[in-house]
Amino acid sequence: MLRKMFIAIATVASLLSFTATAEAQYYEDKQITILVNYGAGGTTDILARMIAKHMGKHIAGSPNLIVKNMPGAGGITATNHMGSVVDADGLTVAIFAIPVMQQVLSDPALSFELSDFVWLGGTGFPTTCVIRKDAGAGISKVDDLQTVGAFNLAGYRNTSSTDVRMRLALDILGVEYNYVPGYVSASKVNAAILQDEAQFSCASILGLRNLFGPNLIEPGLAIPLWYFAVVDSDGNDVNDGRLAGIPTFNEVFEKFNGEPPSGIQYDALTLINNAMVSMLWGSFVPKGTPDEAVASLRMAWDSLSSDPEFIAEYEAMTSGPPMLTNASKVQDNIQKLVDLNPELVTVVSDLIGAE
Amino acid sequence: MFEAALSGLVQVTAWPAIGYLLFGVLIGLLLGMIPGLSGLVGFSIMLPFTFVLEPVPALALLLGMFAVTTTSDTIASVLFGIPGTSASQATILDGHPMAMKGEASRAFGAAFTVSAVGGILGAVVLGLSIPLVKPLILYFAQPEIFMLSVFGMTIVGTLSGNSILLGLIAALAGLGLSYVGYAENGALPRYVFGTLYLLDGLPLIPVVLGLFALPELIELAVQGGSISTVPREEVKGGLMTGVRDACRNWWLVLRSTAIGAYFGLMPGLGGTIVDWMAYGHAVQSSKSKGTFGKGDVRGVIAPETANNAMKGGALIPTVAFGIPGSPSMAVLLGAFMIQGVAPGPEMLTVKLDFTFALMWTLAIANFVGALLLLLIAGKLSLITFLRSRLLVPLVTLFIFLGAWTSSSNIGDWIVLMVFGVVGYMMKKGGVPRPPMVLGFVIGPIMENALFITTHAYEGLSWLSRPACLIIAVLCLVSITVGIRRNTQKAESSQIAIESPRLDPTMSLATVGLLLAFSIYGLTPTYSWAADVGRIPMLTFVPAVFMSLTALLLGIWRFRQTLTNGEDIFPNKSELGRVFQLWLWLLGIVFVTIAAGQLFALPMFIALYFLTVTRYAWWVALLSAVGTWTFLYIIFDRIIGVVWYPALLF
Repeated sequence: MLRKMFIAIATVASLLSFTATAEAQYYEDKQITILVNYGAGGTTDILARMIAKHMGKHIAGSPNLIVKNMPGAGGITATNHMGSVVDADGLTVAIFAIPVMQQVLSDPALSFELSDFVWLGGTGFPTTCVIRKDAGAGISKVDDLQTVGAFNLAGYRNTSSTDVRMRLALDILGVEYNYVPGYVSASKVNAAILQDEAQFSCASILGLRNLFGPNLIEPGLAIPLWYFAVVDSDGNDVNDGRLAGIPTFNEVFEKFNGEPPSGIQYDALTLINNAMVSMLWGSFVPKGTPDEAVASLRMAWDSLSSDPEFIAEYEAMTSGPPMLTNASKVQDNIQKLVDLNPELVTVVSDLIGAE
Repeated sequence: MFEAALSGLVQVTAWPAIGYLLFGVLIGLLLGMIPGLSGLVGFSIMLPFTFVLEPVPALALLLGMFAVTTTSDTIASVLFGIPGTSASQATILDGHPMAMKGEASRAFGAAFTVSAVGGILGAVVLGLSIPLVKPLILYFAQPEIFMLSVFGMTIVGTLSGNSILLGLIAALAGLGLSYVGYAENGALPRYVFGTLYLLDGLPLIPVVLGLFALPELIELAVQGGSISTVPREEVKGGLMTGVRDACRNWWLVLRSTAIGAYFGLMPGLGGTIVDWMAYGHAVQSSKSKGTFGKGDVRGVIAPETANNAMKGGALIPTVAFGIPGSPSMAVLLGAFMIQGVAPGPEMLTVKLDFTFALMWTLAIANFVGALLLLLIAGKLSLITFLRSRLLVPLVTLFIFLGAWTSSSNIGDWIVLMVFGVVGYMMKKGGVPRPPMVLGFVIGPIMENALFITTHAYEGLSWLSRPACLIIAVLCLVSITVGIRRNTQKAESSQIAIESPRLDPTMSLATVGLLLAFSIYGLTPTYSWAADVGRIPMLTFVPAVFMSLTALLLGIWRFRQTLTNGEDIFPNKSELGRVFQLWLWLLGIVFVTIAAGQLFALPMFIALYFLTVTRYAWWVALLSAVGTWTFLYIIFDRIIGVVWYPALLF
């Protein structure tokens, strides 16, 4: 028995060491190009460079990593490039802001389905909504939203996932608002609310911490209303410790209506939000990339969540630890975006078409 | 406030912050010198190194680099007529003609001096006016930004040279070009010909390089000689003459500083057009305009002062409210995030010393950067006396690289080539190019601001906002001044933004092209939703009428020229040589598609040296190897440019 166990352990160990050796050999003396689908200097670029800086040491064979930017068409140019030009050799790895809405809307410019790629992992931020206290009839707590009256909602563009989520949320709650898109960044939205040109908007935790917090909330000009939490398969919110004290959207809805939200609009909101929080940014390689390369890259992605240096740098930026999603969860989310209920697509398309 | 200012100075001058600052200055100077590279590229390269630094040294490094890219970008603008960065577009109007007169050194002397003065004064002026900043910024919402962009367009009259009608047509065409791309406001692609590349709109740098740099390259290649048409021994004004020019024009420097600093302060507008505004102001406020566009040092002083002063202006709303005053400052916001520095009102109160540290960084970087460039300016200006056959391949290399770094797409080169043809035609046909660039830059800001305004405010209520009314009055004043000055018949009131020797055939062809473009632009607007089609329609309707008028006037002038027995096509003789150069450039594009840039560009250099310059084969070979090494080390390894995916390898 002991002998059999020894043989089994030895076999497994040798297999593992063979795999590890194969992975180590694969990237030894090689260079990986990290492709970013937005221009230099933006949040996507900063995050990709931060990940690239630390990921290399976790890849067996310690390859050299360099970062290249390929901006264009809301990230689609580089996505198509990954599908049609890049060799499936594991030497070009995408760290992209995932074109989630283009996938949901089946944008013809996107030549590939997101499920056509091999995913390595993802990461994202929750989105928080704020409102000026002097909006409409005035608001000092979230309950006042039911009586506040119309206000201007500062949006980015009608196809933005943030715009879609905040409009769906307000529609689900039955709150009256005037949609004003066109603000090209969170800082422009911040300016619009400061100037009282708009009174309501939402931003990622980065925007909340760096813009809305110090400029709107701390000076007492605005209050946070809710954040969009990830909803698990049982329909429960997965609370985010970084946003303690701020209710989730579902909690606000329940408070107003005495029951949890449901319906096709809510399904659309949940699907898009789950995707954006767990994989606003994702990493992938082309299909056909050798297994040992994929295994090595996935292992490196997962190792980042326990890398103290990476965590320290990430925390300095976001005031919280990184929320890294592993490959299988990302792949699941991607598949959900591909296999969409047509009724849900209609809801989103109608919302985008209507202003 | 004085204590905070002193504390900020101590933080910046303490080790290691000062070391990082000086290192940032060196990198910034290099980036500004190479067309197409800018602070954004530098930011990407430097960023990973700043993750582990303390806030003051990290931001000293990044801001030190940012501060001086608009100082060293003057070099390419003056020497080759290539805007080193998008902030030095207006500098080429007089900077390059100065180089052609053998006065590159003088231009550098003036430009570097006023860059330092503008950068330092801009920071000081804003430091002193911090208490006024908050109400000013908070009051300038989208209606005011729209009105300011309209005000920006009113300097078209000043930039239109001898024909205000042609200037207006060019400006409207520039606005029209800015509508190319995905209309975010209506989720509709406009004028994209079904291509993915155009969804983001036409890229600024290839358009500007095409309009200005390629025609200069053609001139250099076709006419031979050197950039300077005056022999070296006959050149009178040198570096110190430029420095003295800067001192003599102190009042213009002060006004340009104010334009730079306060326009930079206005979120969303300042950074992009400040050099044009300052140039326009220099022309408008001058009694003798006859030398502008021909190499007037004031045409260098005004934009170079303003584009450095602007950086201090743009810094304040960025740190105080998280509202970036320019694209570079939007990037700097990212650096703040990494450093855990949250921009907010506290930056003007309890963290004022940190804000001052940033402003000191700007001031010191501007001073050191200008000093270093003054030391090498004399040597740099010698390039203008080199033979054109030596310079043409090198300038071509930089123009193509500058365009490529825009979005690393072959579309960048196609845009460059197309606008090269347009720029050449406009230059020879006497249609002013600066208004086109102005329209192109202001267009998106204007359209977006108007879109938000009409959605966020009821009816036309926004027009009664006091600041809007004040800017409207300023617009009227600017238009009146522009028209009055342009209608003065005296030669001294004319500016020579474009070639004085007008080619009637080329002029007619250019106006015809602009008319065709306007009709093409107008056609689909009737079927678009109001939000998407309104502004293009308002642009193209007058453009069609004006182009038609200009065409009829052109035909009348053409016939008159014919009747007088004058040459109707004076540039005909050079077209063969122009076409020859064009084939070289097309060759670069085709070889790139087949074999990639790392092969095509060195091969072009080698073949040009071998067949046109007639250097020995080993010189050509060495040049090709040198070019390859430069491309590989700087652009491939350090900057990480994505090359064209060649068909062969």
